[in-house]
Amino acid sequence: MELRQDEKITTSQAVIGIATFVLGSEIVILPRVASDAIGTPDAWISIFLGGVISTCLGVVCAKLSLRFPTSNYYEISPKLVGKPIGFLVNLIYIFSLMMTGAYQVRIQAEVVRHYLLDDTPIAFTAICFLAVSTYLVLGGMNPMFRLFELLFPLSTFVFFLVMVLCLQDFQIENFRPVLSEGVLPVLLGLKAASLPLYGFEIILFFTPIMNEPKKAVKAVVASNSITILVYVTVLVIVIGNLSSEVVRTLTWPTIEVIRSIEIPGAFFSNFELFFIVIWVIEMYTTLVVSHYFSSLGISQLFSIKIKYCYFIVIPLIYWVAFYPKNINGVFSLGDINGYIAIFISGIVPVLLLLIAKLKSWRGQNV
Amino acid sequence: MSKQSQLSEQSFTGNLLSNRDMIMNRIGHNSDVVVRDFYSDAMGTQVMIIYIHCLVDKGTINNQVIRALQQGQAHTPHQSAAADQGTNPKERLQQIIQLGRMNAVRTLAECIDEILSGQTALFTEGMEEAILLGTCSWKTRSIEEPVTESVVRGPREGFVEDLETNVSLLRRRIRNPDFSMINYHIGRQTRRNLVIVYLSNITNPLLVKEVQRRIELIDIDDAPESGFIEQLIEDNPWSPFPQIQNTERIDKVIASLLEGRVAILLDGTPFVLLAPVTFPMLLQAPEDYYDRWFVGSLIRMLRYLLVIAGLFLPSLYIALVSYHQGLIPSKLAISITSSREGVPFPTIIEALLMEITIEVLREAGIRLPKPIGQAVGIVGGLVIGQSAVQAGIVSPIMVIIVSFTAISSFAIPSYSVAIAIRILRFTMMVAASVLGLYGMVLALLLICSHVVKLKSFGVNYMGAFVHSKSSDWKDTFLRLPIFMMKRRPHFLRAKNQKRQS
Repeated sequence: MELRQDEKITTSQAVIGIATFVLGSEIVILPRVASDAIGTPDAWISIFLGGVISTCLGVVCAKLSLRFPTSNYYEISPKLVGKPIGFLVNLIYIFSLMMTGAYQVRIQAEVVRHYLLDDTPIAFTAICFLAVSTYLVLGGMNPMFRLFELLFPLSTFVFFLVMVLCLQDFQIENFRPVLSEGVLPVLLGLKAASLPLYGFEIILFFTPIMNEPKKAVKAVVASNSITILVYVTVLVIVIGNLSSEVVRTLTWPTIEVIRSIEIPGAFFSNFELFFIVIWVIEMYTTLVVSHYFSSLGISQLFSIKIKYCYFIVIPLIYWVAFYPKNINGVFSLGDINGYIAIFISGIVPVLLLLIAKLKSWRGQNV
Repeated sequence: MSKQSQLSEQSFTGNLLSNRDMIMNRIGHNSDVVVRDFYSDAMGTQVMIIYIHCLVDKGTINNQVIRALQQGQAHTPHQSAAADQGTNPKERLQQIIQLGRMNAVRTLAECIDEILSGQTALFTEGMEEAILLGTCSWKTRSIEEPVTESVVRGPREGFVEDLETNVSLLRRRIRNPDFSMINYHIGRQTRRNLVIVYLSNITNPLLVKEVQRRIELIDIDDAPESGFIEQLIEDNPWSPFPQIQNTERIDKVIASLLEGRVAILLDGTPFVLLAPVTFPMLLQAPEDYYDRWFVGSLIRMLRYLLVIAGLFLPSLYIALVSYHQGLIPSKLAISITSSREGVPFPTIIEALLMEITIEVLREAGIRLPKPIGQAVGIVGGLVIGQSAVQAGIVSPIMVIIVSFTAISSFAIPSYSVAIAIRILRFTMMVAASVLGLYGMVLALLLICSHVVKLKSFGVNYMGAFVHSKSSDWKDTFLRLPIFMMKRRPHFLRAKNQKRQS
């Protein structure tokens, strides 16, 4: 008989929350990054393998958070490894979140300049983007999840619709030969191909506010399945349309493929419009999550009211976003962010879980 | 204020004269206050009645009150015997006066309140109470079809200004002992009646409590229309979206009560407030349910499209023409360019010109008497549109877009939603003129961020779109067959979820 229903999030909100955070800028560049790293058309295998690994890591995160059902990431690490190291871990994580946000801001600004507004300074679009994000974040956590729930079905639907439209130029030959140079390139490309899948560690924040925390593991697995499906679809469609040699030369391969859709007899042919629209929405949701949780981190670490932190974060994100001078700098920013992500959301949670297990084996009450 | 509190503490004595003075001190300066002092045979004592003659039914006073009091013995022979035995005068009055509604009050404040609302106060010598007789009667407008919400199929009755009539209209259709009403007086100066109506076996008690809490907080001189109440109790006064529904239609109110919502009726207005409300609810029309389900579903989907068109169409045109000409299909681009030839303004100015013209026409049409209003519509729509195009001020495509947008906003069932869409349309247009399509996406995200924050009495404004059960989807975009909608909207957290089996 609760009239107020917003205090806790449902499992589906958690699933959508994770998926929407993980899906972001990479949709438009992953085919290039992956084919670049692998060199053969087998990137989709790497993504699959990377997906399996990331799902395992996600499960680790969920298990870790289940051990501390009332604390989030920022509270767990000091409990397990002591205050100083925990502080450091949290600081790195906050920085990683801000970098993720900054990366979204910059990438979307670049794409918007490239495809929509060639004369508008990207600083302006970036500031507008950040302002809209601030407006949502100011409402706290629950509106965020509601927004994701509102927009996610729409954006997924449009995404798959556009992908289906891309099928007409799809050539299966582009994937042959499978594993022409053996398994090695696939394994070498694993790192590049699985980078976009990071972000699942956000479950460490969701578990304490879920109405059924026990379903955290399921939520991670479900959301990872969604993200793997989306990324594999993008990869397969783009490489299937253009072949991996061509993809490597394009800055925004996904948009280029969608741009080339032509339906005979159709009046309208600029389907990249729809795609950019829903993709900006995806970027926005990712930014909002990083904005909110990095503010939360600063607020918890330095005990500042979170209201002020929302605004403290903005110039930091902006500064990071515009630190790289050109587009290649932006992409290497993404790479650095990927390495940090591997460390902070891959390695650290595993270590933390191990420490937690060790501690409980020793009979310590944690 | 101190005088008021003093008054409310004052209570009646057994002395007729002092009671009379107490009342006349408060309201005696008015010429329409009538005091009748006479000896009652039936009671065997001196009695006094006080009323305001323009608020009562004179026939009732003359026949059922005065005549009965004066000739009581003739009507009931055993009465005098009872009188002799010295029964309680109150009980005796109950038998003498032939009126349905009688009750006793002790304090002056209550008594004056009731006299001012049309009751007659009756005093007898030696009794320390005033007996209030239900003699109210005044003219009300007859029940008509609501002008603002007409339907092709469905009941043609609407609420009127009189609260009692309105309650009776609801009562007549809900024969249910759980039909519950909570009465309030709103307005420090005017003390208007306000009634909260709900079905106690369905509605969530927490919701009723919240509505009560907000109503009780109202402290204002007068609330002339339920719009005042709406603005005083809504969740977010800074939002363009209406967070409480208003309607003149009886069937809408009944349907909402049965969903587990609360209706707020105010005396003096035919507009009833319904709370909580969600955005999808505001796009429902009664006919969606009266017509067969696929008709209802298709029309409802059309309405969602119209909301989108009303919000985005002009701004989309602005964005495409001024920023992304390359994205317009080439044949269309050619016809747009040729039609814009000679137009001196940028698209945003062109669009604002036409949009503001439409708004002016609409406003003028409302204010003028009906026949002239239509003439203004014709003059404005045809003459201004046509001549503006011929003069080369706006392009014909812009006229088409603006008028289509206006028409689509007329098709939205709720006037207040249509206004919200109109306001946001201008925001979208400005956004589109600054940042093109990207600006539109940002504005859309801003609006979405806003609506997900909105709540109406603790219920998410976006209803089934957020935080809901799948059963709520049966009545959002689609209107599934009635036999499939077995549950009340989940997000209202009604006590009793089952509608039918």
